[in-house]
Amino acid sequence: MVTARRPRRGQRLPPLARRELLLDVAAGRVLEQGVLPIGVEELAQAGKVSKGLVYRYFPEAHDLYNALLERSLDQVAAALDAAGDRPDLATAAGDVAEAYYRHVARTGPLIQIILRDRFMVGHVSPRAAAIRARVARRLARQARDALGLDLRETIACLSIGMTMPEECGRLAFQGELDLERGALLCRELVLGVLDVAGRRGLEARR
Amino acid sequence: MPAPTPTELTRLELFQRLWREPLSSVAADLGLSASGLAKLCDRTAIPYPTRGHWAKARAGRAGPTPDLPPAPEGASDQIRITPGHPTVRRTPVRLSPEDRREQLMAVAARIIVQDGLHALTIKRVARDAGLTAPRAYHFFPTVDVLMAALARRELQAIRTARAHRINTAERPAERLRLSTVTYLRQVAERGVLLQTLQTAPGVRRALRAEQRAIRADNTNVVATRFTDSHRVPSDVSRAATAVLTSAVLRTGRILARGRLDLDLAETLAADIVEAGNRRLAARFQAPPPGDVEDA
Repeated sequence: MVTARRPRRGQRLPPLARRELLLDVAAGRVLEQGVLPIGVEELAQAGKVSKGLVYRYFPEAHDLYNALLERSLDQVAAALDAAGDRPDLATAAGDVAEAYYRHVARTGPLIQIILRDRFMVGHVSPRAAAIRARVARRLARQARDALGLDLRETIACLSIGMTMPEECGRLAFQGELDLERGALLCRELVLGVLDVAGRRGLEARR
Repeated sequence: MPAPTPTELTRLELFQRLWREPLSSVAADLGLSASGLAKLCDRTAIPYPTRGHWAKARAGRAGPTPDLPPAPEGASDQIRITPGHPTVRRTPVRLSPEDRREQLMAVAARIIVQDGLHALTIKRVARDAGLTAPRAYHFFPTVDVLMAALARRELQAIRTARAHRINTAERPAERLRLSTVTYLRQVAERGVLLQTLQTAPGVRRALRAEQRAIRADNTNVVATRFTDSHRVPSDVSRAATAVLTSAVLRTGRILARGRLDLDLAETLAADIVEAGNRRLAARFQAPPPGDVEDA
């Protein structure tokens, strides 16, 4: 008698490919839900794997989100660094914003969702935190030197300015805004922030 | 069977005993159940150790003992315990369902601001409000429902204040500025509570749809105004309004975290919104309707 074989749940994949696949599925779920955490059960079903396999790759929920975060940050950090190398602040700011905008428009607002969720408070991996701090510090220093604002105000302006690519990107990702038009919009809005910051810097120096 | 002997003791005595040995053993001594004694303490405002206190105490990690607050109105300092006969009663206050809801939400707000979100349980709310737990559960079946109701109340208050202020402005630009400034002022006032609430996934999940609808509504109104006054394509003005709204909200978050003071936040946000609008108008402005054909 032939024993019935269990239905194959999926193909066997090399670990790295499986990990990437799981991350892709998780990214989709996070973007859809907008709030952490997503259920492991749900993730396993969507990825057509067993729950055990999910745990094998990501022993804790935070590992999963940190992996997602690091992946996104790695992608975006390189682009931001290249864009930030421009000597003049307005071009640099515009290019940084556009690079970030294009990233968000392509992959969705993952970084914002994960970093801002209460679920992640105190659990962001050192590596993700370091990438983020490095990028932010660099931008802040560049802006402060060029504008002559104090650090607190520079950071506030930077943080507010970051909303522009994030939100324009989100709209473009959701298909509510044309990609190229969004890039233009994002650049203008960031330059608007720069106008304000520059004016305040002038006043402060006087 | 002999009649149970009543015990007389003062609130202070009971309070001291409760912080010397576990509540359940004190209760057994007095011939009460543990939860009976806990209720009695709630009614007479005697703080007692929470779950886990004695384990922590054995490990040398117990928190400080609280002070005994004054007796609530209507409760005397003498407590007479007759097993089987509850004697301490708070004078009941009758409230209409609406008022009771309000009261519970006010109590919850205080708990969140003082002790953080994790301290919020319906039982705790009931205890602080002087009700039995089931009566509080009647109004709010889960903490999530309670938090969502609170968040809704706060958001509504902010919106009302905003709408009220905006109507005092005459020019569109002024209106935008006022709307921004009023929002930030409200955040400065109510910030901690709303910010804390919005970090709760339950609240965000509950409010997501309605918030989105309200925001879309607002965006429509503001965007139409912007399209009309600056002759900017409608998709640009819609997107710009949504993005700039988020920028103002972000400023609000920075403000609520205490990283900016109110004055600076107001000027920054309002200036940034204005500068953004000005730039967009310059960039995307269509020629006046008459010239379209020539262009």
